[in-house]
Amino acid sequence: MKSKKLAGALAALLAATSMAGCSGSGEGDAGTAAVIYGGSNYVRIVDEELNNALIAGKKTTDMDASIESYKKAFVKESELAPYLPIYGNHLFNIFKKGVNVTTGPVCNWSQALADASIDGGDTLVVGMTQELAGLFSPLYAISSYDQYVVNMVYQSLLAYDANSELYGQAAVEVPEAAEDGKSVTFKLREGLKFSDGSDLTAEDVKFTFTLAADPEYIGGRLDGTFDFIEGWDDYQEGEAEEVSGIVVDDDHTITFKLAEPDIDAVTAIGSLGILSSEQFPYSKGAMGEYKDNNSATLGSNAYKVHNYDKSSGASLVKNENYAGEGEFSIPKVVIKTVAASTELASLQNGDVNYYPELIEPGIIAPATKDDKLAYDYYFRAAEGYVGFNCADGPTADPAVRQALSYATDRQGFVDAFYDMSKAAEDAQNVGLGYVPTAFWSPVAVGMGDATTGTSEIEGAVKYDFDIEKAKQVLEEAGWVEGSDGIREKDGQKLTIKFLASEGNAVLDMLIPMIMDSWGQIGVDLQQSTVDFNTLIDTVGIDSVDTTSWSCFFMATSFTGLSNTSMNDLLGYTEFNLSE
Amino acid sequence: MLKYIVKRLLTSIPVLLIITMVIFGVVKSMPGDEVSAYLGPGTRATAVIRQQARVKYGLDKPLPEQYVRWLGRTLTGNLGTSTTLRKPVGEVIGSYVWNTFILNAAALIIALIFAIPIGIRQAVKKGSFEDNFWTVFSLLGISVPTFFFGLVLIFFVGLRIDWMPISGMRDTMLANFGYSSIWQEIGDILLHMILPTTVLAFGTFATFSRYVRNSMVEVINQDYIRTARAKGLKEKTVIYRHAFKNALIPLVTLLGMYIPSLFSGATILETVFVWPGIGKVLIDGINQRDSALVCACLVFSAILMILGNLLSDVCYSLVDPRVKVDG
Repeated sequence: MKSKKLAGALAALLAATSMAGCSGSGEGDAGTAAVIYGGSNYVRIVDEELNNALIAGKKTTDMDASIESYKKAFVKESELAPYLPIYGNHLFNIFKKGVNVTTGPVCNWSQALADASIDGGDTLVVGMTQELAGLFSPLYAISSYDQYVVNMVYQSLLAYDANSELYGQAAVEVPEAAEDGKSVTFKLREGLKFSDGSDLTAEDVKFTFTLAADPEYIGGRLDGTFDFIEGWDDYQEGEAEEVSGIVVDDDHTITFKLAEPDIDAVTAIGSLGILSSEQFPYSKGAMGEYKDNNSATLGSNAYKVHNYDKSSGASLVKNENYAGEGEFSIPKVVIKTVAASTELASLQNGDVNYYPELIEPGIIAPATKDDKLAYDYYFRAAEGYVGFNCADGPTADPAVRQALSYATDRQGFVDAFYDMSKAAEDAQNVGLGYVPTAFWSPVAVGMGDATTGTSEIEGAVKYDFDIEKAKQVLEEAGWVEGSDGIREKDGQKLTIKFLASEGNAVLDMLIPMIMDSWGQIGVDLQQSTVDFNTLIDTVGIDSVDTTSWSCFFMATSFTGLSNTSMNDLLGYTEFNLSE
Repeated sequence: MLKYIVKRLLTSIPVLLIITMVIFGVVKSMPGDEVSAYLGPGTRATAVIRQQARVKYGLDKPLPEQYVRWLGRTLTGNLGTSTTLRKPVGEVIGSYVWNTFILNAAALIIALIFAIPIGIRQAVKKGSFEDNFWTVFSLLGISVPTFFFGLVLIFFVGLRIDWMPISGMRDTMLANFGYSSIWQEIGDILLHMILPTTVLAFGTFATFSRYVRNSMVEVINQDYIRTARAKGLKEKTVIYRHAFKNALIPLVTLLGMYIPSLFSGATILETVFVWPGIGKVLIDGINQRDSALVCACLVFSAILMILGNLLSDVCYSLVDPRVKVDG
């Protein structure tokens, strides 16, 4: 489904962000504080308690304290209901029997090759229905497909294994942040080499981060991810000649000084693929080919790009200068574009032997019944959700948002849309689609279980499908049914304008359902359909249009195990107390 | 004749100019911001960054100015840079358009090889079972969607035969790890062309065979054919030497108009067979508001259309001695 993939591309861009990343402004409360909508806070929610809980969760290095704060935020968000999560998924990998790759929620196939093998074969041919964009740089890879290549070619300081445990990849081990939470030191493994034979040292690590801080990189995918590093802004926006907070102690030791504690510091720093400082010329403000020539890769991981063509795909071979851990017994990897209509056929006739991260029941169900194929699965760190306009219109009233949430039969939708009745029995129980309890990452540390419904957080509101409850909430808030059956309050009609993107199979099924169920509680649902780019422009934070829409639908990704990806300061407003 | 051609070319220039204005205007007025599409939706790009990107691509200037600059650049051969593919547009079109061309050209040739004799035979045996059979066959060819027929071929033929590739233009391993010779490469491409060409040829055959048939029927009813028969000529000579040559005339006109479509993609077919052609590239460009790429492709099509028209008029005058062109 094209929209999912486009939304997936959108999602891949939303990384954890910082306090400083704000732009655009809107009307604030009269005279008190200016409301600034940051980054991707399309819903424009403003709540001090929620904000403070999120800030407390982020600005610490104590994981337990962080989770306590996030739990409070979780509960508060469930009361405010700015988002209505519609579905989450398990991703299925389908492959030919004999291909052995062990994956996990934050360890997809491209990150699991160290122990992978193929019985009686030497090439892993991975099929995908979208083309690679050729942006094979840790700084610029936007699509998750390009990320596969980045994962195979570049090493980062740390990485996750199939059990979601962090381990040292280029670094010797996972470091602890200092007592005061203000610095963290990484020790590099000795003898690491880029595929051209040159050594990987702490200088290269510092260099990679310096590129991310370069003024020319502003607006790039990872911009804002590392703002917690001391001296970052001075380099990016000021006159500094280097990022003072990154200190190269010696060839194999590097220290990152943090301007303030940050719960994601270690994992964020540890996840950036390391570029070689000697690949291209560089000077501040002139990223040159590091920016413009992303198909030219030079990494220290076990594979290097052998060949790349946009329409047919990419092929990778072993990096003969690889000096890290892991056996990597598969000599060749090919990533190939396949037509959606012939996906399964290509797998069955051997054109392809691995299909990663699928969510289409139409392909998964028959594949699980094919005894020449095997499959595994894990939670997808993404959700499809409806976002409500919290700034204007009837949805600015939290009661309305709650009522709409109660009036949506999400389980019914998931059962119908992700219908696995034709799959093998054990696959049917996996839950290709499920209803998340909150707009939060289902694999997040300490909080994921609450999102998937495996555990519960006390006080969080659960929006099970209940028409009567929805009506009750509206009545109590003063929304009274008018003569035409539509509710109204203070002269405002309960007219919900749903901004839909075209060609979205989810909406094709969802909207008729809510037209009926929301209609039952006295809502006048009006739908307008635009193409995806226009949707983003309309709800985006730069847009001044907050009156033509009450809600929209989007699917978005979270940054894996982090609690801060969507639910952080860039996802919400920040009160500018200095006015 | 030469004068005629030159005159026609000269008069096409103002036409082409107007076409470029229309193309440019339409592409630029598509809703949605090109820069947003380029920077990636919802990226942390602030308004400042978008503005910088706009300036970089010259998108902040007023439309007429943008048009003039674009026209000037295009005339000097610089087709701009594709914002989605980050490559010069000329390079993009150049690499993909040939793939589309060989597919379409092969389909056309195969279609004609069958369409001409069958169309003639239909006309000669007008009203017979044979004629009706081929008529129904052609109707099928015109009505069956390429998408559907392509999938049918893949599932019922491609999958049943081991060595038949069902998608792509080249074998994955050979394409990535090297061909042993140019012949192997050509053979590989031809092998991959079998299924998509069949699908295309089916539809093309349908169109042309009906054309040939109807044209022949009309000619056969003419007086001069009766005269030729009366003269005692062999039927074969009558049909092929006299009738067909005259029936060829409208066929040639049709062919001339067909030339432009050789270079434009059968997008759906290219998607089903993952054929790296220009059709899919163009659609993707439109969806992502890649104005440089889309404008260049559309102008290219327009030029081909004009040349195709001219070619068919010239051929018409060459084939039909009764027709004299001006000048």
